[in-house]
Amino acid sequence: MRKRYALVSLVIVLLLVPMSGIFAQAASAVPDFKAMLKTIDERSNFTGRDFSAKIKMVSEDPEKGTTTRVAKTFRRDRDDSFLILFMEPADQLGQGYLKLGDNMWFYDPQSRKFTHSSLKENVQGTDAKNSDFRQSTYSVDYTVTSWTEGKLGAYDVWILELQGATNEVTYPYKKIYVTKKDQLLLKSEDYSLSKRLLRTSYFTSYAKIGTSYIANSVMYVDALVQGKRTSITFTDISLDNLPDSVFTKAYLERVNR
Amino acid sequence: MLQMIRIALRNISRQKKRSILLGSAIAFGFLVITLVNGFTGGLLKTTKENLSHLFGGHIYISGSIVSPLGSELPMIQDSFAAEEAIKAISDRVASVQYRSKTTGTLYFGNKEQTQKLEGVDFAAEQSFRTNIDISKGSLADIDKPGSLILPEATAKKLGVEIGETLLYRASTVTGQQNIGEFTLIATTTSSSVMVMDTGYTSKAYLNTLIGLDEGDYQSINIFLKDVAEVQTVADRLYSNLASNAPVSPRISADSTSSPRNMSAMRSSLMGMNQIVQVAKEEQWKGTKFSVTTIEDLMSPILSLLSIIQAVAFLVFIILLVIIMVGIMNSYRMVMIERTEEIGTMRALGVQKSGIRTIFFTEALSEAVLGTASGFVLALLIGGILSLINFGSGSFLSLFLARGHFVLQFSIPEALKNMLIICVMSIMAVYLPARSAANLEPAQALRATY
Repeated sequence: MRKRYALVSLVIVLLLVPMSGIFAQAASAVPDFKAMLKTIDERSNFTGRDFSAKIKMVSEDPEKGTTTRVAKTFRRDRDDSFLILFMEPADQLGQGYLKLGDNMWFYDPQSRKFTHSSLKENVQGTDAKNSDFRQSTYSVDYTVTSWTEGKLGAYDVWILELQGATNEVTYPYKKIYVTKKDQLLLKSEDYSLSKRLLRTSYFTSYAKIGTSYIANSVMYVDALVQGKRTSITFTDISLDNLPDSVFTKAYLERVNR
Repeated sequence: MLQMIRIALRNISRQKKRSILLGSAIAFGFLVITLVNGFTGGLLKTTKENLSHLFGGHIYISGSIVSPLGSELPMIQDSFAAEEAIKAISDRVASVQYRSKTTGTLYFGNKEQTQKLEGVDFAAEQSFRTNIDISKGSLADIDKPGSLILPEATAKKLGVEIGETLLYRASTVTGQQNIGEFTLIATTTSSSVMVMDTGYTSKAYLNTLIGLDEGDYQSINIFLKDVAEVQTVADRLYSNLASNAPVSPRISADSTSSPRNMSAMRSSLMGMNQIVQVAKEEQWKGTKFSVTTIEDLMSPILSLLSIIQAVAFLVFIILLVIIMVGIMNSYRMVMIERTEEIGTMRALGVQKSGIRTIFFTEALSEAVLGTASGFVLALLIGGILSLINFGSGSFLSLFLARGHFVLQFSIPEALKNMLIICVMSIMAVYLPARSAANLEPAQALRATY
């Protein structure tokens, strides 16, 4: 009897040893998604340098038609500051958004007044949020709740479902598509608290600058109004240091004189 | 004396054309000031009514807390201090309403429209059903979750009909995006500027959308028995609140308010749940309350109306001065024309004061008749103006009562202006009256003009 038990145990052990190898292999193939979010942030942030670019926003609205806006954006990630200064259309010339630390303002040169704004507001009625122009904060704002593998066009991707780490993030749920090869964000679906799709962002092209990647072509598609979308392209990208005076209210006032 | 008055009244009827012209000039001046006063008074009344309807009260208590992440969130967490403060002014209070509110976007098909929504506890606010002006649909399903009442202008813009379902996108009190499904059950007559028109739904349902518990609320709206007492009662309420809880400085819409205060006012009254970071040294514990009144909101309108009234009064005085110069010259002529008559009267024993009385009575009678005609004309014009329907969709609608101008004539104000005209008329005829009274009877009798 004892011999029979010993034999069964041996068989089980012999079966489990190769299987544990399979499990170990499978586990090693699944990346650390927390680290992946951090990589996404690090890849698109410019901690040690300043960032500036010219942006063109083309908004299509089934009701209002197509509007093109041109602006300059300046970013200083180490201070979590940025400035967007509008140059076109003519009626928005000189308007700007300025974020300094925890505060954010909108400047209107007509009234010469700054009004409080927030990262959660849309930029000039487009489908882009103010927060889309700040440094990436996926690893701070979200945790990965589930994942799958898939394909997006020709790319093999990880599809990660994210949940807000606090109840103060603009989109409580997100689904992001990250390339397996370079860990670049290709697509992001933004959901409401009631888990209804609100917006889909497509990061269609990246430019590599040093060790960083900047999505130089992004399209935000409104999921609630069919045909409403905003395409943003970044050109004249520079990582040259910017004077401190750029990230001040005085700068916005001065450029309008 | 009575004889003098009789002579004065006869003199007025003797020179009909001149008397009518002088009276018309006075009537015109009085008409202008009465109409302007009636117009501004009516404007003030209708604007106050429209705004109190829009914001659901005369005094508004709102609150905010600091989140663990240091954000200011628009919600009342502990209402004990507010309840105690309201108890202290209960003798002045007509009703108290507990509401939630938010400003978001309505979606129907491919159309979208920004809309403020107020969450109402329909079971507690029974007067809501009788006070609301329904233009289409009914309130039969008002208690069903997701039932929505919209201003008819909004429904028209979206092309949504009664019974259809629409989506509403809003931010939770913590700033998260959320979407809710609503069914339109009724529309209201647009009573004010479209962007300020309010939609209504059940508070419990709205609370789930903006991240509050069913019984929570964001503002306490107080209707007073007498709206004239609003500032005094609000001051009492504020000091009672301040003794039990942290309070924000009193917010007003004037230009001296800081952007932060204006932002807080927008947030509390329009339901624009904008999340602002609070610096560590400025953070507070529990709920910080704000008190705003209908008059705080109306301060720019009040300033504008004061300016209109001041300008109108200045124009009135200038008009009066011109009229008085005309009166003075007319009575100089009268004196010359009646020199012989005055001489006869003086020769028959009429005293100097009697001659003066005739002049003063004539001027006073013309002033009284002129102002009375001016007042009647103002009533007529005002009546005709108030019959015109300007519609409900224009910018003017904030100042209109169901599309009509309301002219509110103030009797004390009219009497004050009448007194001014009478005094100025007497002043204008003083010199001619004195000259007439001082005429030597013998010389006057000899005079030939």
